[in-house]
Amino acid sequence: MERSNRKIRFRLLMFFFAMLGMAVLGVLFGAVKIGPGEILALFSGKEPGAQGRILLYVRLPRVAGAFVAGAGLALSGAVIQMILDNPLAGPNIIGVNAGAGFAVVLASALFPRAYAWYPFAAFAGAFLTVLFVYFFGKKTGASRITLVLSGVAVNSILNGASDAVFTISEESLVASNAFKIGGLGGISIPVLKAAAVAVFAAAVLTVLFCNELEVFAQGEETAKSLGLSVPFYRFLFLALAAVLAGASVSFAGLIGFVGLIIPHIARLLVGGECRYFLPASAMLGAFFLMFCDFVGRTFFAPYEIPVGIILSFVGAPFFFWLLIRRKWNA
Amino acid sequence: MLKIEGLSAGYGREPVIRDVDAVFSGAQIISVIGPNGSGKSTLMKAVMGLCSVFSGTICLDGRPVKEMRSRTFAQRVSYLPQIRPAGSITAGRLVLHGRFPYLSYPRHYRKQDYAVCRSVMEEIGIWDLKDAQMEALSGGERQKVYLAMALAADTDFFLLDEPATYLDVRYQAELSALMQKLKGKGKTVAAVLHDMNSALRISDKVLVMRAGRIVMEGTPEEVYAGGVLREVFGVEVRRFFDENGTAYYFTAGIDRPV
Repeated sequence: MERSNRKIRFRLLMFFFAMLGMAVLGVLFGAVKIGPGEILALFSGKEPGAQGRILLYVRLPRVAGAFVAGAGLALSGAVIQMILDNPLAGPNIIGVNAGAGFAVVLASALFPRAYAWYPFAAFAGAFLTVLFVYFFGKKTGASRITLVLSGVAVNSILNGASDAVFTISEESLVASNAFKIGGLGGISIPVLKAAAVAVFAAAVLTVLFCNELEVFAQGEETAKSLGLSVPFYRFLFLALAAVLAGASVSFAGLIGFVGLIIPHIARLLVGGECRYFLPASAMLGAFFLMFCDFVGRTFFAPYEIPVGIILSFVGAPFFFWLLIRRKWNA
Repeated sequence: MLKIEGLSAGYGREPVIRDVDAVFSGAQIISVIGPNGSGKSTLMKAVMGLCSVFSGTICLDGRPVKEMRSRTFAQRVSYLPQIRPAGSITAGRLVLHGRFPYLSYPRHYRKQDYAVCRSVMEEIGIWDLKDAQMEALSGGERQKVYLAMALAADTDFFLLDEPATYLDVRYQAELSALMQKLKGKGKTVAAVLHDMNSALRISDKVLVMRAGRIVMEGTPEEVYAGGVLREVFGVEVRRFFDENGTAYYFTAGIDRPV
């Protein structure tokens, strides 16, 4: 069994280098041309020039943001699909994104100047939503399917609530529109730092508990019969999924499709074994979002297409393909 | 010894089984039979803590199961549920998870776990399926993989909820042989079975359930001779012997309108 996994390990190595390569590409190229001289000057300790500042304070945080959000959302989607045993589930399906979105819309309406607190509101919204879905499932003894359906209901309520706030409060409109589309244009380093720490910690925990997650995914009855404390791990995995998605959404906005598409691609390339599937999802997610952001800001320069729009154009057809494939398989 | 006393259990607020007493012990095959909805699966689930227990006790070697750590219990009792998802996982990896109850933090599989997994898969004859995705396997092959997972746990008690589901006659015969093999190793096998012939032919003890209660417990001979099968299932069961004296059971027809 071990020997047959060499090919998968090689693929993981390829993903790692692809991710690294995309990060370097994303930092070096953009609407403003930056030569190697300016990059080397940054390491000399001198005060950076205009282009150096663009590199340090605009492009680097943006690429890092795409990296963190891509990895976080893809990993969150991978965990959610496993615990709900539903390939059509994702952070946007069980209401995590809608929860984060509503929290930000509400915060922007009530406290229009407290921009710095929006990411925390997004995280709190995501977490509270996932807790609600969890306790609803626990209280009613809901199956995985019911859990997904309750997520759909929560999504609907929260999106409706967001729209209600939009209608009542015009002030929230601008900030919330950018947030709803999803983009990496206005990343601030302190916000990114907090989110990156949360995503990194949650990602480490998720990979650390990969065997538990794999056992959990075999069905709650099998998991319990194998000695796994099902309620504890269900809570843990839902919380980790909320942290991963909430922290990502907090600075990148409602980017939904990464959490759905990437786990599928990762599963196709490395299989469903968690110790490979989870790192593959994280690396491919980081690569994909960095790539989409790169396309959005370079292909149409000097105009910029927010990454959320590019993702929708890529993600929606993929979702249709997934539905058709499932229909064929059925 | 797994001892069930005065057990009432079910889902929501309504018990499905009531006042059930049963003992699973020693090298035995115990069949649980009864019509659909009679509470056979609920009995298994109640033992595994998978449904609500309203009253009664379940003790493993004199110790109440609810006081035991789930990991400790899983090292003694294996359970094969009736419905299982065929997720995106290889057969070999799934069988390896049978060793999960023996892992301590951080839960990483050791060389001996891989060795147990291999020996069990070879014993059942599915080693060549080790790298196959569960989704790609036939119902019978999947069932064998799940059985291998239960065997990999190397427990003293095996609770199998309709293990013959999805199995063709060849696989069913292999399953019966496997259960007898486990009994030969001193294990206790309790299985919910629908096939009357298998249940009466290979079992040492048969529990007959109806409407959430055990209406008879006895050897296959006692159950057959007592007429309870006709009473519970509403069918005529006949017995034939081959030239070696082995008994075979057939349902000859409907005894009364259902």
